[in-house]
Amino acid sequence: MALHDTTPDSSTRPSGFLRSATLPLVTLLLSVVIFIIDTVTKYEVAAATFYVVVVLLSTRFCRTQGVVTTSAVCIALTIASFVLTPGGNFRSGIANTVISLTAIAATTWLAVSIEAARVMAERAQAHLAHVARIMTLGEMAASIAHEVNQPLAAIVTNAHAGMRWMRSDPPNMAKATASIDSIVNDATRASEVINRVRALATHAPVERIGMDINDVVHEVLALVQSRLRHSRIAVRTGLSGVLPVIPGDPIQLQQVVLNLVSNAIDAIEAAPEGEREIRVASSPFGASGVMIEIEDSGTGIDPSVAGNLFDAFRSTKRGGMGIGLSICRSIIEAHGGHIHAEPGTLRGARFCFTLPGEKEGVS
Amino acid sequence: MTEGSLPEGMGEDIDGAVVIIDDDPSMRQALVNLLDSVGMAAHSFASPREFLSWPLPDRPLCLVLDIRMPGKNGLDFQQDLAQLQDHIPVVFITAHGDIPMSVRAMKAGAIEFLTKPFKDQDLLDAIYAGLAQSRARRHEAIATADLRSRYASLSGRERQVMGMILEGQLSKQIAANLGLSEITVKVCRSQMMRKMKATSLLDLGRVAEKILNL
Repeated sequence: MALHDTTPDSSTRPSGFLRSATLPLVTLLLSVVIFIIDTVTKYEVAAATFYVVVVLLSTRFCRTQGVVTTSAVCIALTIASFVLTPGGNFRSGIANTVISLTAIAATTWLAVSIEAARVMAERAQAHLAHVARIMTLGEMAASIAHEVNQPLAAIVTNAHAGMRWMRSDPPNMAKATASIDSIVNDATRASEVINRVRALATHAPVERIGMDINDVVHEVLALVQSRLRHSRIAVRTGLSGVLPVIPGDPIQLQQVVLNLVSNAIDAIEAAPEGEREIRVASSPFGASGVMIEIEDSGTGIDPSVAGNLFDAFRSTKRGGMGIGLSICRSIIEAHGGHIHAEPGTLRGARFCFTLPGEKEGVS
Repeated sequence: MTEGSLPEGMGEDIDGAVVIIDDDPSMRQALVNLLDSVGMAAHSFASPREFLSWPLPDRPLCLVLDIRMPGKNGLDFQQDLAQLQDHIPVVFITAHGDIPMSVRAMKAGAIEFLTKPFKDQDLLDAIYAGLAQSRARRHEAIATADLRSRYASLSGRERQVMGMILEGQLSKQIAANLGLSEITVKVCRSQMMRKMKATSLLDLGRVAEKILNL
């Protein structure tokens, strides 16, 4: 039946298999029931209008094409019922059928436009997330340039030294080899930085893979290492060793952690002298989820903005666009988790987000 | 220039030492390696604070300083250094130098301002120049100290006579002014000239100028 053929994405959605199979089945049963009632009752009973419910239900698990197909099937069933109906007032039968068909067509049109709007909103959201990521990158460009240029300078210097060792009389091969070893190490370090940045900058489609959130934290801390060092900020990590593997998009989650850590650094830089510390902790949460806490000793959250901290286009930073935290929230919520902020124990702010595990279902 | 050629007077540089302050461990190691390959002693530190807690050796020094460092900016540190009596020549190395930065560094007396990565010979040339400057300053300081000690060995009368000679007075005038015989003044004068190791009045004038200016 067409209803089932047009639900390919129901299985790719992360919701439980049972739930994804139930709705199409109920919809199918409903259309069969409506068809039987519509066929056995007389012309005067406009049971076919209830196909509207079938069309609406189909929007829950079908994309545009599926909804249109469902609607076409409903229209065909309505006409079939009209032909098969044994008796009654033929004129009211025509009127009722026309009304039913109009209702189905109108509902379909509405459902399709709503679906189109939803797709556009999704696309805009993804685009905004990408823009936010590029902006975070832009802010970090100087730091990254330093991080890459430093090993390059060391490579060039070691290469010069190595040449001198080889040209000396007699050539000092041990020192020359040591110089080349250093070159290899520094080159590896530089390419690691490049790989991290490239992963962050690519506009890759969303993917959900089993991942260890601690890896994300390590990657981010490695990226901001130069900034931390420059601002003399100590990082204390309390990462749990017994975390469950969670389904998620590592790049998106990396962006969330990067954003929160960047904010923490900014807050500490804005604060008068004192303790300069960021704490990052991970722990198991619920049955199979994880919780990440990022706490800083910065300026803290102004109570006047605490209520709409995660709203888009609100920023307390000079030159800030106010999309960082908003993107964080959409990413976390898309993963089925929650994010919130509260005053921390280090006089600054504490951001806390949770991510559900494999079995808990993500909507 | 990367032929590994050493500038003239390289032998003298053995007495000098290079101090490297850079927060990046691999950059420090690379610089020490490069200097080692030309036979120069190098000491490396991760921060200015670490360097300041190190007892300065009594030899010509040249500082290789990274601009961007934790704690203190290299340019600010250069200013602090200038206030110490030991004026150590500074060669700046930076990953991202701009014109205002280099102007500030050069105005404050930096030898060179190099952008990472740099040519080895550029750095070595700058270091040789820095060490030469440090060495010249040390020579000058020793010479001045010597002149001072000569001046200090003069008696009160001899200093008085020296002052009057430098004002252009003749022995006869000095004798009259001090109420002494001309012979006494002449003996005093020749003793003073011997103690100051001055061969002529012109020579004495030059020596006096150095002492009074410093």
